[in-house]
Amino acid sequence: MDEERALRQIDETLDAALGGITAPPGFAARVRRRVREPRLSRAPEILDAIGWLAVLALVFVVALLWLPPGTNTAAAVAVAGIAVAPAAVFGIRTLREL
Amino acid sequence: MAEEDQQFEEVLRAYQDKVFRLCCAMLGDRSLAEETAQEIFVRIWKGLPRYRGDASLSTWIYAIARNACLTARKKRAASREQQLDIADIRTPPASPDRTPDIMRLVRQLPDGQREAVLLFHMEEKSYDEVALMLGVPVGTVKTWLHRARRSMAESLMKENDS
Repeated sequence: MDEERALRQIDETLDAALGGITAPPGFAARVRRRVREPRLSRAPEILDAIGWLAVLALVFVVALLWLPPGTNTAAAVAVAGIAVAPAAVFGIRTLREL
Repeated sequence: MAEEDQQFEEVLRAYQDKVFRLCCAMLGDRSLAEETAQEIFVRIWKGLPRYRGDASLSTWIYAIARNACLTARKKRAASREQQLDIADIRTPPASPDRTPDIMRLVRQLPDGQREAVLLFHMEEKSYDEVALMLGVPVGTVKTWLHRARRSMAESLMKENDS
């Protein structure tokens, strides 16, 4: 078999197998049904996030109060920020997925 | 009908087949393609009020579709039990004896080449459309197709000779 014939065979087979593929019957109706489902409320997640932020803030304030005098609070704030930032990013991503 | 709903209806009508074909090409599994295509239109419906026209509508839709397919592919890979079966897309009426071989060759191609080949034949051989759908330049599509066809032809010739 030469290359030209092989290429022709590939083209013909793929055209026959793949040409004219369309969305299955009833696809649009199923999509319409899905988009008209009532949207889930985000209130529980938002309240949850506020609650956890309050707990984190409280822990942070208590930790600051317990620091020995003369401790570099800026460094403590930076460390806390590094710890909280990824959690915030993941939280926001989760909310966006809802 | 609200303006938002009407706009969504137009998008659904115009893009349902193209989005479904993109899902078929990227996922190679008809039922997963349908599930993912539905999810894509739910995302489009949610995002349509925020769509400002910075990118063209088709670019925006295909970007959503590609991301959803990549997510679906990752989820499948994570819980992988079923084998990718492109031959499942459709049983062709012509030359059924050669189809499994050709589909096996397609399946063996790298991701980009495989998606380009499948979309090229699904989208009436339009390089521009395939490039738009895959989010790559037209030149890249041509290169992928050229390499894929050469590689499949070589394999086919070897198999026929042996």
